[in-house]
Amino acid sequence: MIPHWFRSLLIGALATTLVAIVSGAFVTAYGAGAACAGWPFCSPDSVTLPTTAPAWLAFSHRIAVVIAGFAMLALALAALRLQTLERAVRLPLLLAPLLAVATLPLDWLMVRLQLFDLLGVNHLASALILLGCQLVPWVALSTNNAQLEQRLGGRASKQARGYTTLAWWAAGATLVLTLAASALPAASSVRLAGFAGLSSHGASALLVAAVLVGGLGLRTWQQRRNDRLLLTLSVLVLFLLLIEGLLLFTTAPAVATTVGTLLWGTSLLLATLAARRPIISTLPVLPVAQKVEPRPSLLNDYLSLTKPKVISLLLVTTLAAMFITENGTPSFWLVFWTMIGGYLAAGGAGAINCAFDSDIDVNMGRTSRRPVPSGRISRQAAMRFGLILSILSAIVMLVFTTPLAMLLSTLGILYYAVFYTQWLKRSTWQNIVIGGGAGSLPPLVGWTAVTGTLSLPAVLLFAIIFYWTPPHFWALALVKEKDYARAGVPMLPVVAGAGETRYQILVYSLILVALSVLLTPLGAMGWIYLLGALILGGLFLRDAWNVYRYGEQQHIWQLYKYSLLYLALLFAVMVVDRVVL
Amino acid sequence: MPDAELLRWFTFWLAAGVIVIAQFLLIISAIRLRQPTRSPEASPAVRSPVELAWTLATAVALGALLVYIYQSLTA
Repeated sequence: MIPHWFRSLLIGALATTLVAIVSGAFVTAYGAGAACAGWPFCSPDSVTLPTTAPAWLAFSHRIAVVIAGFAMLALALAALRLQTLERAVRLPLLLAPLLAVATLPLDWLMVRLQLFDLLGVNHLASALILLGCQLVPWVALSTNNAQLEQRLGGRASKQARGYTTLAWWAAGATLVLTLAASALPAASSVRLAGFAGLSSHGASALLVAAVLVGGLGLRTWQQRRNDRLLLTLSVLVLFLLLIEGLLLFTTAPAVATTVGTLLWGTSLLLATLAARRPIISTLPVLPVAQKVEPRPSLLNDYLSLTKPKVISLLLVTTLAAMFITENGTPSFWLVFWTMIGGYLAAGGAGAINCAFDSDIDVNMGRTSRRPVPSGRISRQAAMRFGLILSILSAIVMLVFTTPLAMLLSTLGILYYAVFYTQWLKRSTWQNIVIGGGAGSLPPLVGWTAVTGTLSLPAVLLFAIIFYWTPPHFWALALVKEKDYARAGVPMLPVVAGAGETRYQILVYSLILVALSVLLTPLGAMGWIYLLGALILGGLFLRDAWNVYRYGEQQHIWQLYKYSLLYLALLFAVMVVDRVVL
Repeated sequence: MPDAELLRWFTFWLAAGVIVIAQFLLIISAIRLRQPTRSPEASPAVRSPVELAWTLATAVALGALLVYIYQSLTA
């Protein structure tokens, strides 16, 4: 039984943290921090109360922070004592004071050295995360975890997990967007031409948040629309995102931060509830005999020829590379056209691959439902489609980016569609090692789209993806070994067995992690990246070791899934390092 | 700052050492696999000299990259 005072304390802490954040937004917006340069009182030399309105604003913010801090501490102590609390309540409450203590030196530096532009975003980030550390326990206390009691089938369970994961990613994106919105005054030097008030960081954050929140809204409608609460929250998040997006075009950072805080809170609420609310079926129950798998539309078939899931990861590496060059932040339109050109190039290569590989795909369970092997689209049509996309990509890249970027993206198409698909894949167990070169080109495309030239860090990015490819694809090949054998593809597990493959996965993983840390000594990245690369690489090596040592399906799947996340996060850390340092 | 410089070189040599040893292990594997134990019936015969050549080619390319990085650090 949870005591009533504990709930009241939690609500009080939540409200105080919210007040602290909103008051902080106004302190930043009006530059009131400079009027209160001492600690804990405004005057550095004497214990006196503030005398001016800005100083009172800053001092009131401090009082709110102190009250929120005490409430947070009390909650952590209570969480330590109350052993009956579930993990979703206890863990965030215990983590909150640790985070606060960790960020305290930065906050002190910010006040004493007047580094509001430099450290203001860190200050807000920690405050928003602390708000999350109280909001999640409050939701968890207020609702039962109904999904624990439900006996979901494999498909429904997977669907529910996917929905929850997307909700957390969307919440994360709203957090980044809120921080970007609050940083607008500091980032005025990198505002985009043609978009008054909108920085390229803000535009990127808005784009990512719009994709994720929009995707979440769509998934809510498809899977959870019978749950009124989730549906309402999804609509609310979309609405707040729209408002926040409009505020980015204005010069009202205080309002943008306030709306952003509400957006982050609502997204977090949605993500927490998504994991706990009961799953109510959105589809009418049909007798088994009447279940007919719907035929995909022609549009969906053509879209699937471009392999959108694969492309998304390629575009992440392209995008990240664009933000870490020595030329600084690229313009919004350059990013936009490079993404369009990149999608067309990768989609074109994918469609040509589908046309060439239909004889292999038809023999593999994973690929037999693709449009070409299942006869919904002819090989010729797929080939024509692929060629058209490839030509369009070359035009887009040449017109809107640089000739070298166009050359590299076209090289990528030829590498994948001809060299890999037609030759390597069918003739050598090194197919995905050497073929990995095709997937390693996107960061070079992004890099050269911004700089017009190649340099050593860009080549290192190429090498990182090149050595990432074997562990990733061999993990899949280990699971689908029979498929590849039936299709006559000489993948390493088919040719040399699972033991050799597991061993080579480990060796390639070692090279990958070693390569990833070289960006720091080279001077292309700082210590934040080095730390991130070591942590992410350590987890990668742990999974590779488990595959080598035990070789069980669960370990192989774990490595396969983590390798996808690893690459995306590694490139994200590069951007963070570049933005922060 | 000497400490930062030391850390830079330490990271480089540690990474380079790991890469050289791991690449050596891959070459040994390629030599060992010149006679594959199995091969899918439907696929063309796997040509062992080509396999070894691919491994050596990637090793040389990676070696060149390390040398280039070293030169860049000493420049």
